[in-house]
Amino acid sequence: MFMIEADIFRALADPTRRAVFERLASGEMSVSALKARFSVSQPAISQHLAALKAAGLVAERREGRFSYYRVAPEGLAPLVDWIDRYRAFWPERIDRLKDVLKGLEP
Amino acid sequence: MTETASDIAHDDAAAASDATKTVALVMETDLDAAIDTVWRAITDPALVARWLLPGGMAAEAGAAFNLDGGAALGTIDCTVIESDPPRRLAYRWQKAATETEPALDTVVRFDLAARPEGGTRLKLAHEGFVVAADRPVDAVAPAEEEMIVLLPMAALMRRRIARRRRPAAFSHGAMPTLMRLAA
Repeated sequence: MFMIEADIFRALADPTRRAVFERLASGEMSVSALKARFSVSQPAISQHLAALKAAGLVAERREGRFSYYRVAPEGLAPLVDWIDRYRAFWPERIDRLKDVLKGLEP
Repeated sequence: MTETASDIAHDDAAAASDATKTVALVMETDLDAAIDTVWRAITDPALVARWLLPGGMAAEAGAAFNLDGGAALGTIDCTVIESDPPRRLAYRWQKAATETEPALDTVVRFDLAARPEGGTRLKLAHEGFVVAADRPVDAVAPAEEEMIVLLPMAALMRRRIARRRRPAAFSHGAMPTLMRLAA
């Protein structure tokens, strides 16, 4: 059930891959343009892109022999932070429980 | 910087094992009510609707019910996994994934203990949140307490000051409400 989220964390755990993702956040780029930015081998860039694509973080568009990548805006949606919502939720509810208890005790 | 394919594969293997961790929110507070009264408040559907969420409630192991969490929390599917009146109640707290939100598969536990000086100590644990492995926590407690403590001491201090108009809670030596993140 948490596989999607785990995939995203894993995909972004690598610093180079995170940098590639952040670079793509500024706009669509071809693989060769990305390679020029990062001075890593093309196979390495391709592997980073494949991992990001597998995690649903980037989308690929092919044009002839060239591939272009862009950030998939819905890709980060699974990172909605339930913990932050519930950390605000429970103390407020417990305050309400205390009020309910006041009405029940003599 | 150069990076070979085998480096990447190695990084993947390392990241896969520690990219996420499971943590819990843990909260302890003293309630000015007898343990049987608190048990009623956390199991009677009409009372639960007044402080937690509307929907249903059950206190028999295996029983299923829903809670209506509104727009923020959605519909929560619950199944009782442990019921030991008036001390322990635990239920699964689950929510299916939507287009914009991940699924939630957690457990909520209530532990009640009568306090010698009167009232009831409540320990509430909401377990099973998956977060990034590098998410900071405040401190790591002994393993047998299965706890890692996260945050909000500063926020809690502000809460207590704002609540001083309730002197009764202090005269009992009541424990301030603590909320911790545990793993």
